[in-house]
Amino acid sequence: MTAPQPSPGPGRRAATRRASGPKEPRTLDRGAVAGGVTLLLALGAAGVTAAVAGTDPAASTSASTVPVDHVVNACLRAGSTPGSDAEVLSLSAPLPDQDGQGTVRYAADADLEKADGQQAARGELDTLDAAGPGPSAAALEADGAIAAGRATWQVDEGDDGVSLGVQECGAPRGVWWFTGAGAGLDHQSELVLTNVDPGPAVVDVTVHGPDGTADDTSTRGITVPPGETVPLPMVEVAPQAEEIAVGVTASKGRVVAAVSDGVAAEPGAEPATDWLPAQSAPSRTVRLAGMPVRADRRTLVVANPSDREALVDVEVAGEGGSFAPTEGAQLRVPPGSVVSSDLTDAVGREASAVVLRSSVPVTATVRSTSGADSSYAGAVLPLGGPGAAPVVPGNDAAVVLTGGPVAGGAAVVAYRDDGSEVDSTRMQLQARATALWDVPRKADYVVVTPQGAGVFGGLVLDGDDGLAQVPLRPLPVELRMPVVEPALR
Amino acid sequence: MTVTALLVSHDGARWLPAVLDGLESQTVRPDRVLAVDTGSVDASHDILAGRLGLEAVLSLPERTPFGAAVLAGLDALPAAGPDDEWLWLLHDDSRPAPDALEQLLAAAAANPSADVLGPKLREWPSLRRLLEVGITMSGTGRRETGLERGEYDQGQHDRTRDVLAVGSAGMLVRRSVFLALGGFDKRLPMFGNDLDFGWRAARAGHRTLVVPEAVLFHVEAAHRGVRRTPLTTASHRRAARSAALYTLLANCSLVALPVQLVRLFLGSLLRALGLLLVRAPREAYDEVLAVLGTYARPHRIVAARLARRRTATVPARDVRHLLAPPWLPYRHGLDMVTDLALAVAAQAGETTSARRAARTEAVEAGPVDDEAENLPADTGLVARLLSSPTAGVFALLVLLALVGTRGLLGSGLLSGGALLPAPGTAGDWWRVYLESWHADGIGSGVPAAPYLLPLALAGTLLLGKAWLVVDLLFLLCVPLAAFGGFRFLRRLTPSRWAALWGGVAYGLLPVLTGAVAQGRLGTVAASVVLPWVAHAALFLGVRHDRDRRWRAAWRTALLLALLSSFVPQAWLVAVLAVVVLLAFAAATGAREWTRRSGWGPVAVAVLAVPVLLLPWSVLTLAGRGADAWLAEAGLPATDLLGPLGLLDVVLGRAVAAGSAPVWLSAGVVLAAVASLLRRDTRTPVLASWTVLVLALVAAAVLAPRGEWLGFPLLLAQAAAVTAAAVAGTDIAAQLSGRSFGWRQPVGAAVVVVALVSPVLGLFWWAASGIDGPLDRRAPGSVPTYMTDAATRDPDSGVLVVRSTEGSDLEYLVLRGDGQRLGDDTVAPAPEDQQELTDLVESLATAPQATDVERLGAHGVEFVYAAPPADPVLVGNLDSVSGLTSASAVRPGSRAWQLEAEPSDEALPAPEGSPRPVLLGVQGLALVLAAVLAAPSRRVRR
Repeated sequence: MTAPQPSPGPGRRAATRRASGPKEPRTLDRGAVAGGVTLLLALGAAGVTAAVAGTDPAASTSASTVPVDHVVNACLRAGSTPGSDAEVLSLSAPLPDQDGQGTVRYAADADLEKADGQQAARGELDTLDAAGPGPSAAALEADGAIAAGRATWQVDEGDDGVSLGVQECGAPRGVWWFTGAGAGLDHQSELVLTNVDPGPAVVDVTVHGPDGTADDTSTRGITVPPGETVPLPMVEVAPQAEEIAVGVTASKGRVVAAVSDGVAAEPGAEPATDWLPAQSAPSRTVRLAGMPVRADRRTLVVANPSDREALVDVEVAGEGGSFAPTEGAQLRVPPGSVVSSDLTDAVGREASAVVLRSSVPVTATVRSTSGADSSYAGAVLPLGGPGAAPVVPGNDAAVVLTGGPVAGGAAVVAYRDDGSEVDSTRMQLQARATALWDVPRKADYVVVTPQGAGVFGGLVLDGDDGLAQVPLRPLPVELRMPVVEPALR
Repeated sequence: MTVTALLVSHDGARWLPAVLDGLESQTVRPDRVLAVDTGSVDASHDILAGRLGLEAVLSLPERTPFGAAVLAGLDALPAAGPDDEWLWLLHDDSRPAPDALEQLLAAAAANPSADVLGPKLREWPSLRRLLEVGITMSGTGRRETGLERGEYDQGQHDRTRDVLAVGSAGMLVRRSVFLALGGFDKRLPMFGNDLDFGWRAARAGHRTLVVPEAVLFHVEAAHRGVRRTPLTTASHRRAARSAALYTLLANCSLVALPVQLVRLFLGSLLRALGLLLVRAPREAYDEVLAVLGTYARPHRIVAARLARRRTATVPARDVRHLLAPPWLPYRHGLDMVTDLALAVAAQAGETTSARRAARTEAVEAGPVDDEAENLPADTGLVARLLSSPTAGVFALLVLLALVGTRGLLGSGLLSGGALLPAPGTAGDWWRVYLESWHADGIGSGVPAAPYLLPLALAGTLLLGKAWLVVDLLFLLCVPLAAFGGFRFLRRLTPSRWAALWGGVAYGLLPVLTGAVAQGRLGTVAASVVLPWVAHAALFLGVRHDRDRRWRAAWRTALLLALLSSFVPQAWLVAVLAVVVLLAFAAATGAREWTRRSGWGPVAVAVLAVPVLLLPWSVLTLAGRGADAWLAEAGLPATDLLGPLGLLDVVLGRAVAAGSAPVWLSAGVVLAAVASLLRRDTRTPVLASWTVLVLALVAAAVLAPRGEWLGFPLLLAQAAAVTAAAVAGTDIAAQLSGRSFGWRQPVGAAVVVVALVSPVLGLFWWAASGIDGPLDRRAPGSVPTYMTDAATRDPDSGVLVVRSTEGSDLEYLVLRGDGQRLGDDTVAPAPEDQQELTDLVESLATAPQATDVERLGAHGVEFVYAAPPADPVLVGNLDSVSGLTSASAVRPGSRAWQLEAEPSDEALPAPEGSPRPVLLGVQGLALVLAAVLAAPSRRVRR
């Protein structure tokens, strides 16, 4: 860095500041070296700063989880179904490292305050009387360690024109979506809402049909008093709409909602009823869990509650892998409306699931019709933990699972209602492919534990009384505690 | 009638010959002359003996007071006869005019009732200034002459009149009266004995006249401290003040005594404080010692009062007209303040003209007086604005600032990002700063951040408008910072244009770093204060004289404390810089730095800061600990921070997204690198680069902690600007002098890029405006009925719950109209709020009715879920008993009211705090530092 001697002109200011001559070159060298060292130090410090900046130490505070110790489920009876032969099945699934006793209170009239607590044992499938003729509701509350892994279903056994149907008895929440309902001549649905909380709930119901959103002020601000059940037949809201989707949003409080759906296989035929699976919220990716192998007709119904057009890519995950159907590979769903598409040819008669990818959040289902009965594939999320489903005696049951983006598997265990194990298997799942396992007829319920990411599926029941599908959802085992921090503003 | 002249002398050889000449040249000679010498060690005795004869000189021991000397002289000189005998008292530093005695005697003859007569005293050696034409005493014990200081004698006071007293120098007094009164008080050896004598004479029914026709020239050697005798003790000021207090207390009426005692004591303390404020600590010390010394010996006062009662024949109220009017001390006080203000103004005027003169004769006159450079640029008129390029540039900057911040103008309060809206008045800042226990939230004893004090002061000066302080800082930070930068660089470079360039480049930094857009109050305030800290620190250099360095030390400490109050990191960097400086000095053996006088001021400048930031600097150690020194004023707002690239750091971008394009600063950094190549400016350039390295080291330390890096990067850029500006001095001449090689074109290119950089930056800013979270909006989102209830009743708090990422939540308990600037600094520590945190967690997951009860015990009446309200939380709160839905207007928000009456059962009780004491210490430290930083004042009499 030794620089040549500067040669300022005579009288320049610089000349007056220069030190005496002979020592000059050495001093200059030292200065230059110091300059170079300083420059390098500055660059080094800047480099370190750039390397470590932006690492947020606050991000390391991760959320913690606690075991679930309180579960409330409610099962609904619709006013349109006579419902003499319904029963409620409830279960605290056998879980590794979970034993635990606890109290379960069940009230067929949804009045938990007056119900007596019963000791329950893990692994036992309790069979309970359903609520009386609808519209009505029954409620179940589990407290303590027994609450972890608790799930409840209501089974309508085929009888007197009622076909087989399984209702997931959900926990109260603020948002519910149902797709595949109808309000036409051959397809009629009824929304039932119940409130098991101490305070009143107020809900807004939005109905989307093929022609867009059905604007009806009567569905706004529906009050559901505590302990009461409110029915809402769809024909009153959107008459003459064959395919509709129903959204329930609580502006206050929480509700449990269910949609009873009656659809005639042929015009003028006796409608067969089933419960529509609920979707927690519209989503850009919708996984419709495993469908029955035996079906005469399959109809994909997609609803777009947003105010923008949805472009929906349809993908069928069959036994050999995933593919797009030759017809209807992409659907355009206008804002606020519902579109249906025939998937009968695309799916065929093999174990399969349907995955939708949409430009805006949508809701969907696949209606599979076999003979006189129909059943619906529910929108599920990948299983993050064990899921369970009941096996209704007298029906062929099959666990239908679909792999995630990478190959994986799942452990499936079949139990009797006393908790004893009947059979088990490990299902191998190729990426985006669907597999099926026939559940032994002696089994009363199955527990599916995923091994690998992205596994989803359901249980298919097929018998003389018709078809039914039970989506596999993660059981409430652990509760993620939100990170709560005091704020400064 | 006999006249006896009595001359008392003590070490007066300097003046005696002239005094004796004066005595000899009297038109009416005294009948007898006696000199009393009190142990002079100089030639006084010989001179007296030589001129008057040995028999006319009486020698007394050294410590004989004036009064005792006179009495001893009278003893030695028996009464001349039965008729009237007059005594004429003379000092060894007082020369009578030739007709002095004649005039006095004439007046005595004309006023037969007069017993004491005194001449007009004029200053010696000037001979023309008036010293006294009769004296009296004010209520505060001040010797009142009724004259202006240094008033010339033009006969304006020539009126023979009754006065309280006349000075003992030249006093003509009846011997009988003098002896009846016991002469001068023995307790008053040097000062004030004449006043006391006059007062006693008046109370005894005697008349004192001043005779202006008689003139005496007086040096007042003892009074001015020219003469040191064992009797003047340690300090003549203290002795004079003690004498004044004694005289006042001994002679005032009994009724007035208690009031006088209190008044004099408090007055003395006030005077001491005033003296401290005008940086006269020694005088203040004397003042305090005088009053303490006098009050510690009450028996003296009692004895003196008893003695006066014996001679008094006239009631005290008959003498009152001779005393100074009671309003006089206050007029003096007013005069002094006016004088001080005028002096400051005059000094500014003088330095301005000095600077003008220096500018015109810069070449011949050499460096400009430091004091002159230190002052702000003199205020100009419109003409000056138009003709001066500097004023033009700053006018343009103000204009551009208003254009660049156009998005921030309008109604509402500036807030957003790291900035909370300003409180209603500056009083809120005072309250938060002064109170020890804050009722906000669950209550906290966290010490308020130190920057609330300057904010509160500024807000008070702006008539309580707290918002205006914040607005001025954020809207005008560019011109303010640029001006400071310019003034600083003017001291480093003789080139006005280099300084102007540097000032503008520096002024842009608060905008370019992204500090303004993110509402980073700390960095914005630091950008304004930093140049003045650097400016003050320049005078810490060893080439300055001792007095200047010490003053600079205190000024630097004050300014560094101001800077550190906003950005405590600044103090850490300063400590680091001092350590590096002293280590370098020790390594290179620079003796002027390793001596105590060398490093002392520098150490004081840094070490005084924690004391000046006091309640916070100590109390925060128990609270947040050392972490508090790493954060800066304003909210942490870590969500606004992101990863930075090397280029961002090098070019001073504390935020990667949203700030100015990086190439805008490239010119400055390029110039700073190039500045290392210039040899003749290498020392200051290397010093700047050292600061730059230290700043980047600070940035590297702070970065992994997730802190906002605004200040260290601002400091690094400021150092780069300084290096470039210093090396840019006369750069055109430098480059044109280089006629060969690659340096000329490369250098020219660097200069052009560097010059263009700030200009482009200004236009970029003016064109793009401020684009960031900082905005002007109405404060508060919580429904008004809730904040009203919370303001009315402190137990009716509002729990505000806000969703952050995913289902995570943050909460805040409001007890007023929302969080305002400063409230965040006293928020309780997260650990202290754990109970409430658990409660909110429970509400968000599986609430029980008992949770709601506990919430009520925390003084919460309302729960408000800010939009977008978390659906799980909303469902939970809707379903839990004890809460009823309340109205919330904003879409997506929800509100609930507790059914039970809220209470403060679960809230912590206020704790005792040493804060008031520490605040007192801080106040004292601030006053002390301000006094010590002020220009030295020499008290003249």
